[in-house]
Amino acid sequence: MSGGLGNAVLKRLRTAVGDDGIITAPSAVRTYACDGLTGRRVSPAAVVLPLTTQQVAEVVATCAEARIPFVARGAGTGLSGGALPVAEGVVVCLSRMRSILNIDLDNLQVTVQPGVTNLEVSKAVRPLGYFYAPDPSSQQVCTIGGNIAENSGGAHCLKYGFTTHHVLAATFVTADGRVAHLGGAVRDAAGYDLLGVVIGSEGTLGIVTEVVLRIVRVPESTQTVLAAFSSMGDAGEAVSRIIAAGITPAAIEMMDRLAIRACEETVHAGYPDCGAALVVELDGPSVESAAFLREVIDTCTASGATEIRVAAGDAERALIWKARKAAFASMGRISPNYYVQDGVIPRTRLRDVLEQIDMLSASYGLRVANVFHAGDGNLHPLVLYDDAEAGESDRALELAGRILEACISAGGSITGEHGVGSDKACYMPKMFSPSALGVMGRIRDAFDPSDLCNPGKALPTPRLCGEVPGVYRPHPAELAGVAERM
Amino acid sequence: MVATASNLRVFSAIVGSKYVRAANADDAVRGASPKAVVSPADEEEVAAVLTAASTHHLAVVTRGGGTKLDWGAPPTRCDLILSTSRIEGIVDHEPADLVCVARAGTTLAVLQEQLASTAGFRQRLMLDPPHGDAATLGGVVATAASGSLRTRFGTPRDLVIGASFVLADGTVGRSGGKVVKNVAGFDVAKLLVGSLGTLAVITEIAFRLHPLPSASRTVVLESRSVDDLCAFARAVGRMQVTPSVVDLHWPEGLVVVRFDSSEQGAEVQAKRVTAEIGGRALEGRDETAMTDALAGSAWQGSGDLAALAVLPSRVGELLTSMSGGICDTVVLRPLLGTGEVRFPPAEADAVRAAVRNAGGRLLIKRGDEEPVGVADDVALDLMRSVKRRLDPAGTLSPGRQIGGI
Amino acid sequence: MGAGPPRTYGRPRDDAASRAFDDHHPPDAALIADCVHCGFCLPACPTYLLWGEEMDSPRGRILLMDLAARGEVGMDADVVRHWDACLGCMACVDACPSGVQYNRLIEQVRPQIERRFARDWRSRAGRAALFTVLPYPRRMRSLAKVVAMTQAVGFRRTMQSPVLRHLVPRTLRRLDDMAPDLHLTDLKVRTPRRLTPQGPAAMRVALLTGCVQDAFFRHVNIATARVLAAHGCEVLVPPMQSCCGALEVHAGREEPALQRMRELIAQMERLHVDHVVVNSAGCGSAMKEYGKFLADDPAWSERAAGFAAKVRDVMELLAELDVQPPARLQPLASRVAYHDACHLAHAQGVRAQPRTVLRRIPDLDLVDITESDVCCGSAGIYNLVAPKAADDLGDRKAANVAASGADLLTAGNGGCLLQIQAALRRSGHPLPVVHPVELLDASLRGVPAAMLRDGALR
Repeated sequence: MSGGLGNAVLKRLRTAVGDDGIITAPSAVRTYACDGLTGRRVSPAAVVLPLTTQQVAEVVATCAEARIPFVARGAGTGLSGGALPVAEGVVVCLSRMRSILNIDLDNLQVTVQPGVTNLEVSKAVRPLGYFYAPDPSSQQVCTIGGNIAENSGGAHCLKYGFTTHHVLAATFVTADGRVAHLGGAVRDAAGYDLLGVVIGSEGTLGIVTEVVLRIVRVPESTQTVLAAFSSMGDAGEAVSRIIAAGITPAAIEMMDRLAIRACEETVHAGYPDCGAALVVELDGPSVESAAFLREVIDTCTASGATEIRVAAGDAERALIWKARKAAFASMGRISPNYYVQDGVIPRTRLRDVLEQIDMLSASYGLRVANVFHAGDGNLHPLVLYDDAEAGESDRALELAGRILEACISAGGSITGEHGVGSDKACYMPKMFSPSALGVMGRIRDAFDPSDLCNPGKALPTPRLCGEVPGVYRPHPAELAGVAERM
Repeated sequence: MVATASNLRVFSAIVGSKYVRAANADDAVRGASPKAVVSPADEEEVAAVLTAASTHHLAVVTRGGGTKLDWGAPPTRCDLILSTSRIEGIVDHEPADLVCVARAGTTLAVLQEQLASTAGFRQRLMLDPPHGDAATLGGVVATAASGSLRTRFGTPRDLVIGASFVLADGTVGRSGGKVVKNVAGFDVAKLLVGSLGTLAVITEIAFRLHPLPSASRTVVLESRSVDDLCAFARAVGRMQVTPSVVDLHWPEGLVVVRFDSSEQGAEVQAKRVTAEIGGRALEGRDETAMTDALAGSAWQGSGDLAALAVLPSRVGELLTSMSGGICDTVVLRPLLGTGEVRFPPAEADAVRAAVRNAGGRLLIKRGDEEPVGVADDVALDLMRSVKRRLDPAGTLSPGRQIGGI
Repeated sequence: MGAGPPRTYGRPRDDAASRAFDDHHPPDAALIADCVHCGFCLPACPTYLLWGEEMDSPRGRILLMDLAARGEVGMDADVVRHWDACLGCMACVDACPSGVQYNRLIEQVRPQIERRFARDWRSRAGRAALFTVLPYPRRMRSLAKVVAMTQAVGFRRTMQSPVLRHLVPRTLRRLDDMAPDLHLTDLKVRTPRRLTPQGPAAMRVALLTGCVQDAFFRHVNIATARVLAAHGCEVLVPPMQSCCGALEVHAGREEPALQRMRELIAQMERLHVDHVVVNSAGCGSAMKEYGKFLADDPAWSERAAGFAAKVRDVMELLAELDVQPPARLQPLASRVAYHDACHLAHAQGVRAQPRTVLRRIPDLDLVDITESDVCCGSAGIYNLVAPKAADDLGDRKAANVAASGADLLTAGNGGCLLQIQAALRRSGHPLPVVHPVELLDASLRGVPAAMLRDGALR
């Protein structure tokens, strides 16, 4: 009924979370077989849905003692397969731990459970004049726990930083089921910054069960500009000039023609049909935003903008953002399948990397829509393909790998916010030397010597890259020469 | 370790005899006397030195500018000082990307000078830790040192985007990179920030930079009332202004608010503060005079010194309980609740009690007292586990971290 | 939160254990492929809000459809359970950035369940009983008489006793909980067959009297006719109307539903009206889709499409019309909370019009409810077959209504009104619930707001 878990283990799990808190029916566990990355699916033996830190600790202790791998999951919207279950393992789903426990306006802190969605936090404090700054595009559904695992950013991280800059404390269940308190509502916890290394560790070091978040004031004025350009190159030029001018916008987003078309079909925000669109948002004290707005408009014009629109009010601004944030999911309207990548490049290399992507897309015969956080060089090329066409999905993976290669050569990173997960572990050796990876491995061992906590994610393992049960098939990344079996 | 000819020869062979010398009294680290000082030139030599030290079971303390060597508990053993003085220079500065990579032995002052003088892109690393001139980047990161700018720009934790380092067994590691947005791999650099040299020797650091502001204005409130000072600071925090500095000095009775922006931006914001909540505006020479007078005030003078932290909402409570002469000075970032306190050693218990009663933390920088509000047992256990994996032989600054790590 | 969906009992029929769907309109593979698994539907789904499980989210349900279509899971109770738990509220359709037509998919699945899954005898008996009464207006009227009589003898008051409650079979208890306050006199009033406006008629419309509506909300039908006439419509209300088939089609009982649709189309066609007006969201949404439901029937497909094009919700139509003098809207000083019925908001996209029209009433303070987009749990027969889940949603809705500080609740669907009223009663904060058209009617007739609030509206 539940693979190899065994009755004793099941009994302990049931005791920990109650009969209502465990799922073992084969059809039901299959719905947990993947997250937002659908290419690989693995059914777990069971899914547990704890309600408290204590329950999480008991579940983890049970798994640890029985040497059963476990994978934490929030809403399952991750794009790097970080919540991909382990066969015969347990998924610990935090979706029922979704209460906002405390709002402390005097200290600008909010205490939440990890299943609270990102947007819920902002919604709770916005009427009071504050918001939670990291805003991934999936914020209405992605959870804080997931944000912590990936150190999520979002469009506004250019100015406000990432999740790691907004988390003050966490209750943390260790890989062997003990409960630690990391960081603190009072700052400057002594000793090593364990919280800092847990954030972004993709759920491989333990499970966070309660978090203290930092909230920031809603700025006095927000100005949003939508600028149309005839080419990505021109738009990229404008971005570089804006940053070089010493302006720190709250966000700078770019979309190409294909992406705009898809978004418009979904949201009808009235984006112009153009080669590339920039959305630049400035916020802060009115006097600063007003001055910066003028400069941004001038810079866009000087870089060849064909049309410039300033959002007339909150409603228009919300619509502009709605379109941008629906970008990935909108791809479903123009292609049966898509594969989104998440490379980062230094801003100064924007133009030439975009040109490379263009050439690669042409040579592979697959469309690539581009949506990205231009302000920090974080690209999201969306490789469009049709799974029903023989070999297309493999080619799509390969193309995506070549794009990542280009990012690394340009001095960037293989992931800006989606994480390495199971998806890009094979590319890690391209970015880090074996000894650097070895150090990370040691840190992982320090937290999880038994390798049970979300094993096989984030760091490359001999097992991971290209292994499929049965006959060995090389991973497309290996074929492309971008990944190595260790 | 005895500074035998053969021991020193091992290191001379690596770095050249010119860069190995016997230690003297000035080289002692909190009472622990090393036998030799070794100055490697680069990461490769660092790796070789550490490997050799491991082989000979020598305990190594890393030293940059030596300005914060007395932070942390005394090392249980100290055989060798590894000086980073030769590991200096800017490796990469991409002004249009607002990122720079520099070697750990570079002093903060030199870096700032270089960044400020790049044609067309005057930039700055927004850190103003104590002893800034002589402090090296590696030291600043290893001690997580920060100053007044923390209110707006954070600590090294927030400004470091990547690091290269060497473990005790000579393994070279790296985390992060040259781009600000990067989640590939574990954020090992975070572990190194504030690690007091107990996990690795940092050799290279990538920082995110900010444009150098062109103008500034300062608003000052002078008052003997804790409530007034705290209320003023809180009010500034709620206004729609973005100060770089909001510092509270007690018992001097000052709140200093500084705006760094364009001429117009700074002026308008300062005016807004004085108009809405009061205070006296300063600019130009008056401003500079005040800044200079207050710079590093916590660190000057004798007495023990500690970093403290409380919830911002309890700052008033803390200051009130620290009145009556039990401390010489407290300098706080009231919007964060963090700062420093300098006190006569005789008042240590009173200071500790005051902090404890306000639910805060106290971490001694100069002195021998026990800290307050230290991490819980399970967290300490994890820290020990991390230390064991990265430095199993306990070569690097053993005993300097909390919990005797 | 904690418990999951209600259990479904039964087993697959024929070869449905290995081949879940038969060939008659199985869930469309192309529609399933539209789903890119992004998860944006999760926070919009009431059952995900309740239980936080993937299987009871649109994304999970689609995945189960996919697995079933591929033969990887059969039509087992474990699978059917999650499709049964779907309210059919279609909030997910609005939330989905990829345009997945989940409403179409679940519509294709329900009849498959009816045909391919044999429910246990209890469920079958219960559903059979419901469908022996609900789609038959005359039988519903008889039921209403019984309800009114039980209430007249104080049954309802008896049901409030915690001890006595448990002496009565659960189904009876449930029916009593859900039923509105009814007086025998309510049932004696007749719906007029024809109403003409004072001045020249702007248009000619037919009014659907419905089943639940006619039995339990006849006063709403009468008010609807009056209000339409006051807005310049000639209103025809044919007697002996057929049920519109909505409840059955949403429960997957395809053939009986289609039959009723044909009957209704035939009845209404004879009248040659500009619009067929509906005051029940559930009915209106089904009727607007008659063209799709009868697309397979060459004799009816065009007629059905023609009919569907004429269907309007009453508030939707009123938004395009003006009150004809000497009729005028008089002040109705009250604070009214507006609940978006799923089949009006999500299915028909009618959100703005009711609000616009209600705001024409002077002194009426119309407020929105938090989570206004979340289903109240009525969902057709859902609150009868899945009472615990429905109650949980109802309680949530009631709390939001209470928090709005309103004196009255209004919603454009009888099922919602019954459901929310029952939930408010349970919470100890009973509020009068009215159809929006009743507010307009009261305003036109100069009924003081106090009377409305006291529930003495008839």
